[in-house]
Amino acid sequence: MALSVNSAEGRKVKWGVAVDLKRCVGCQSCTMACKAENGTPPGIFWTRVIEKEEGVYPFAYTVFMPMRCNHCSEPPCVPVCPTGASYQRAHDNVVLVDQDQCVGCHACVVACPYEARFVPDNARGYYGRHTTAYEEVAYKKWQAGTAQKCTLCVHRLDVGLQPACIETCPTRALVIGDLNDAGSEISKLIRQRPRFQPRAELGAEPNVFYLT
Amino acid sequence: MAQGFNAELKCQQEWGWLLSIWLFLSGTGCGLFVLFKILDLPIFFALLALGSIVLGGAVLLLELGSPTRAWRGVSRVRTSWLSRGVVFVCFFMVTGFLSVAPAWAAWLPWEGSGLGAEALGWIAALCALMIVLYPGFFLAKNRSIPFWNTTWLPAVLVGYAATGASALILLGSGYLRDGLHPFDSLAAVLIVVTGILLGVYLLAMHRAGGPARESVRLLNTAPMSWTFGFGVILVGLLLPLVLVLWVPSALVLAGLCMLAGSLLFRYCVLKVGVYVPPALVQAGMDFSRLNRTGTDLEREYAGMAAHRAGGRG
Repeated sequence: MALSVNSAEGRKVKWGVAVDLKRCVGCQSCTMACKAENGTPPGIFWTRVIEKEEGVYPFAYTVFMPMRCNHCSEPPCVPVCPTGASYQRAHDNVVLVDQDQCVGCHACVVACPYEARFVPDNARGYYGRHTTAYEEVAYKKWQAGTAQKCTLCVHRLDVGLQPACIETCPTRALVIGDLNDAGSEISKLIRQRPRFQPRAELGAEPNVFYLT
Repeated sequence: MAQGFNAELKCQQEWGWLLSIWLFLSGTGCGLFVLFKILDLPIFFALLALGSIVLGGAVLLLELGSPTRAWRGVSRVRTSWLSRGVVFVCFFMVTGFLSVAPAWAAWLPWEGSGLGAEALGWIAALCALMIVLYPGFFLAKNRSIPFWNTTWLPAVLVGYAATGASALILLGSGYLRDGLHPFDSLAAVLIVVTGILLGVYLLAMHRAGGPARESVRLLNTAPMSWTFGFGVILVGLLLPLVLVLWVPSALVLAGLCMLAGSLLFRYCVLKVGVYVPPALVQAGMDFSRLNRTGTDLEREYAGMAAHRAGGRG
C-alpha cells in the first residue's frame, strides 16, 4: 500500500506509528519482515513483539506489545552521542545512525529507554563463520562494532512505501502516518481511541502510540 | 547480544569490567592530581596520576567498537558529556604534563616553582576535577536507568575518586618527606565520608522504588551480593578503616583494599543498572470480557444465535 508523502511537501513531517493492541495477535510477522528487509544480525531485532502473561488460571491470557524505535521528538539517544553519528533528519523526525562516524561507545544504547539500539560485536551470520548468499548481501548495510537501529525503512518511506513491518502486519494492527496532518489515518485513530505513549514521563516525546 | 521477548526488568548488558576499569583509573588518577596540587605532594604522584589517565584512556579504547575513530569523540561538546570528557582529558594531559615537565627538562622557558608552572598546574587540577565529575554526570543523564539517574551517583563517584587517590598516597608513602601521619587520617576521613555517601545513595534508590529498588535488591542478592557485600563494603571500606585507625604497620594493605573496593564499586554500579520496564498494556485496556466462565460464554453465544435468527425472520 502506497503511503501519501506528497501531502507533506512544504512542511515538516512528523512520522508516527499507531499500534492497536486490540488487534495485535503476537504473530511476530513484523519481527520477521524487519529481519528479511534489513538483514539484521543474529539475536538483534529492530522491532519485536514482547509478551506478558496476565491473570491466573483459568482466566490466564497473554498480552502483546510490539516494541520498536519510537523516533522520538526529543530522542535521548542523540545528544549523548560524542561524535554526532546519531542524528535526527532535518525534514522529519526519523532518528538514524551514520555508521561511518560511530565509534561504538554504547552510550546511545544505554540512553534509549526503549532498548531499541544495538551494537553487534561481529558480522557473523546465523550459521557461524559461513555466511549465506543473502547474509553476504544484507550485511553490507551495517558495520560490526557500530550502533544500529530501526530506520523506519526510510529507503521505502522516501519513495512512498510503508515500512516492511507495517505492510506485513496481517491484522493491520500497525498504522503509520504524518502526525502533523490532521486528516491522516493515524491522527484520526489517536483522536478517537484511548491511547498511551510508552514511558512518556521520561520526556522523550515518543511518536509511537499504543491504542488500547 | 540476544534480546528478550518477555516484559521484565532487565539489567544493561553493554558495559562491564572494561568501563569499570576506565572509571576507576580516570577517577582515581585525577583525584590524585587534585590532591597533589592541594596538598603539595612530591612530583612522583603527579606522574602516577598522568600515567593512570593514559592507562584509563587505553582501556576505554578497548571498550569502543571502532577505536580507530575515537578522534571523532570531540565533535559534540555542546550536548555530550563523553565528548566534553575527551576535551577535559586532552587539556589535562597537556597542562598537567607541562606543569611538571621542568622537573627533568631544565631547558624549558618556565621553572617548576614559577608562576607559569603553577598556573598550568592549577588549570590541570581544574581539568582533573572535571574528569572526576563528568563520568557521574554522563551516567546520571540516562533516564532509561533510574539507579544512575540521580545526583547522588556523581557525589559517590567523587567520594570514591578521593578515597582511591588517598589509597595511592598510602601506597606511595616511600616518596613522602614528612611521613604518613596526616595522610592516614585523611584516608580514614575519606573512607567514612564515602561510606556515608554510599549509604545515602542506596537508601535513596531503595525508597525511589521500581527499577531503582530492583538495582539495590540485585546488589544484595547472589551473585552480586558477594562482590558488593564482601568486596565493596567489607574489603573496600570496613577493613581499610580498621587498618588505618588501629594497625599503622598495615597501611599498604589498607591502600590495596581501598583500591580494590573502589574498582568493585564501579563494577557493581554498572552491572545492576536496571532499565525502566516496557509500558506493557496498563491503563485503559479492558480485559474483563476475558474473565468469562464457560456458562457465560454459552449464554452469550445463545443470545447471539437468537439475535441472528431474529434478524433473518
